[in-house]
Amino acid sequence: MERMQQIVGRARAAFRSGRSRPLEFRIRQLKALERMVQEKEKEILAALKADLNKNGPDAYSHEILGVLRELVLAVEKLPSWAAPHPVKKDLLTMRDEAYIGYEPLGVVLVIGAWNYPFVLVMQPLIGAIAAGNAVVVKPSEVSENTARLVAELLPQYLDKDLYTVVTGGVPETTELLTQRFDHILYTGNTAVGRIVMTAAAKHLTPVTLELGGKSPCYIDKDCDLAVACRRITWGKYMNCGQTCIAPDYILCHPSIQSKVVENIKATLKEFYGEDVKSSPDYGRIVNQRHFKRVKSLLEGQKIAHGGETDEASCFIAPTILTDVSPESKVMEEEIFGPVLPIVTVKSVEEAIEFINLREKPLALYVFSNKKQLIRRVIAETSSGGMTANDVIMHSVIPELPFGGVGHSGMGAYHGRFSFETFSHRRACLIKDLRWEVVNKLRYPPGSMEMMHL
Amino acid sequence: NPYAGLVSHLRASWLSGKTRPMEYRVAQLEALGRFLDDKKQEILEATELDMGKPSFEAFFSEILLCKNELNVTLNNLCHWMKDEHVDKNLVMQLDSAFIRKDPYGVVLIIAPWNYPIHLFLVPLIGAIAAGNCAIIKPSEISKNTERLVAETLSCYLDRDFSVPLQDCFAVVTGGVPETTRLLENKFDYIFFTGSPSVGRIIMTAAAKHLTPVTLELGGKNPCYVSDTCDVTNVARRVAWGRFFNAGQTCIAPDYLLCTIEMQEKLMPALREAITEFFGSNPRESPDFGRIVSDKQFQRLRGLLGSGRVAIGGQTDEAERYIAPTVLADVLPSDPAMQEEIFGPILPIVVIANMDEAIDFINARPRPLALYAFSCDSKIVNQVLERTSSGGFCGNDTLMQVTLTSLPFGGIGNSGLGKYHGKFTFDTFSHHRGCLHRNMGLETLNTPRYPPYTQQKLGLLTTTFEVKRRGTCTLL
Repeated sequence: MERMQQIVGRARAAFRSGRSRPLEFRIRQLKALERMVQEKEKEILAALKADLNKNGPDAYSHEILGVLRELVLAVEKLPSWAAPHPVKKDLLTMRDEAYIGYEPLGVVLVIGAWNYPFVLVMQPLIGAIAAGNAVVVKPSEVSENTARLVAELLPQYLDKDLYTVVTGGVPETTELLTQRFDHILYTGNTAVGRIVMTAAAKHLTPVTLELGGKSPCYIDKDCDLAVACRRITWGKYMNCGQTCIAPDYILCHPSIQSKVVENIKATLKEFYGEDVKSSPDYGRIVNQRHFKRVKSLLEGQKIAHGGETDEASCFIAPTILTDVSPESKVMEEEIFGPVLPIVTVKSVEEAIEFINLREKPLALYVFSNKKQLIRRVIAETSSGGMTANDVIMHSVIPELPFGGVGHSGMGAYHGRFSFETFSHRRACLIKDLRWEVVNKLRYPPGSMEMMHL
Repeated sequence: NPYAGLVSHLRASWLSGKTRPMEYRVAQLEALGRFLDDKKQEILEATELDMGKPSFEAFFSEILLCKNELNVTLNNLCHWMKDEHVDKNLVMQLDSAFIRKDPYGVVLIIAPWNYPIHLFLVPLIGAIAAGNCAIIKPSEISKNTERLVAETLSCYLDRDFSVPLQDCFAVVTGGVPETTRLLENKFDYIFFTGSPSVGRIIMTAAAKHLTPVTLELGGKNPCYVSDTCDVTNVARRVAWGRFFNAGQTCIAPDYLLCTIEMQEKLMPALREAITEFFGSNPRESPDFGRIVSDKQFQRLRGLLGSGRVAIGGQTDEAERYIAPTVLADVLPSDPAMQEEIFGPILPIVVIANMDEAIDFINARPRPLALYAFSCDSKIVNQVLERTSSGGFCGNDTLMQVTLTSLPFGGIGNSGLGKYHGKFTFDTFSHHRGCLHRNMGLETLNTPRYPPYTQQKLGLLTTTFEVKRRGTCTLL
């Protein structure tokens, strides 16, 4: 308890010193982060390989490229993001200065997840620094090599008191959450999301929760199946299925189910070769616990492709299940693994109803040549975000807010949304002490004539 | 769970999609306008019974400001509802990327007693504009207004005569036990206005269902008066803000910070302003309100022992009248400085200079509003820059919340989230990132697919990178 109190206390004192407020200071920190990512690229890639068996180009494109992009964007846009924003005035305020000021919140907490362990602490950190806050970073202990590396590197490049890394597991995080923060951004699962929000409520701390769920993927009969299946295969099996916005399950008409399976099989061969296990581009499940969890989802299912597992290396082959029952275990929880169930539906109406009966997902996907059908699916469902005719890609556009809704989360970030998440928008009205005659209209004694003015 | 039936009934209506079309939302908003017009007299009477609210004040805050919000919303709804298209990179030029504003579903609005119509109606305007169904829980303390709302609001909203039951909106009445039971249900958004301690309870209940919240809370709003200022105008503006609604305003200037010299200059000016506003006996003025309940009255009377009574101090228990009061030489340890006053009492705490005032403010929880008065704009800006608060007004009080283009909300203990104008619409909408891609041009996607190679990576980097703009050299 004392250790966490000290850490947060030091960050708060550093924030109160005011040195994180000037834009030049923030930009220097962001540029230092950029140097860190460039100079330590080898070490970062090695940590990602050790944690998740991600290989070089894969890890670079998913974790490093995005971070560098976000850093360049933040450095370039910060002056315009942070500038006071004048607002439209009315008759009574015509002579006044009225604007929204962007101010830091104070000391914020970023809790990362293990599946994209580098980018999921770095992207929030970038926004928090850009907004002028002190930041405590708590990387996931499950991806222990990346956690250790982040703890080693950040103090070498950034202001040590303003930006701290706390490592550890559940006990350390629980202790950390008893402290008061001015915002908490948590990435992880729904159950822990509730715990984080409950802890935050004690201090009235605003939260951004990036959670998960089962992201549905509807494939219309009228679409280029080969292309659709290639894109789906890419998004589903990257990082061995351990992606919060992976297409979790497929909904399609029974008449195209076998074609879907054939197309995905063909794409899998294209991507990973005949022997998936020996492909350097196919990942592994992060640990034994998750391996056992995902493996158990295969019980009693019709395996159309894959199904091979190897406990020693936490390997689960890219797997497709067909004619899956909506009541089965694999349809209950977020899969977070390389298992793709196909549930058949007779129509898009049935698909929409199926989706709406369940918790709102983080992402939603629909494949169709018919613009009308796509518009309908968007209009009649709700999800954190969505992509039509592809998967994942809505999350790489920095101008789109990235976040969940309902059980998949609250709040959003990426790009300027990160900056706004970690800022307080303060309403400012500056009047003149003269021109009192205008004010007389509002002062008592009131009268009926005044009321009609 | 006594409210489970009601909530699931509203949820069924929500799932039917009834509240989503723009025409429906506009019809409900126009009906709210008619409610304000038709029931104006009843609203003025009910709020007078509840807290002696002067008609002029009630008209201003409960009718006029609400109609402004309605008109801003009706004038702009079409624009606010539109998909917001965003910039894309090179590879996505043929795609469509936009932010869709989705309603949340069934929302809960919990309102307090001090501006009992305004503080449920303005959030409700945004909730309806954003396409949601809503349950409104007015305060049981302002019981006449509560009854008025419960009995008449349903006559205006969702008037589908073919369907006998009210199904998209409902008013729930009751006190703490009823609100606690109501919060057992899952809502898609909760909007709460009230005290920080209850705010914590609301957020804890919301966490069980992962329901996002806006909490409009309170605190002690400091008011710094520098030595260089027009004392007469300062006194009027501060007195107006302090004594409006007999001080029962979340953004009222709670206490004054100034030098001992300024305190001396301000006192006659404040006395003059109070007399100008309320006459020599404010008890007889139709423009000065009363305290809402015996409990609040007793609490406020207990604060009168702080410092010394320089102006006012008279009370009448039967009427729940407390005179417009100014307390001089109040100490930080005095009762009046321990809690949000929420009454017609203005303590003055003497400080040596602006730096001391700023340190005093920053040592305390961040307030909902912060005021600074000075003829020197540099001083006003210094106070603004060196402090933190929900909102700020230089050289006046309260007015920052009457401009619908400014966000209204707290920070830290004074709240989270914001509303008014478009901010209310945004509060009650989920901003959904959407990308509609082309099925063709599949070759452009090749660099992202396995087998991964350095060459593919190079291509990806080129297409997805945000390049830093080079410096322009003229020579």
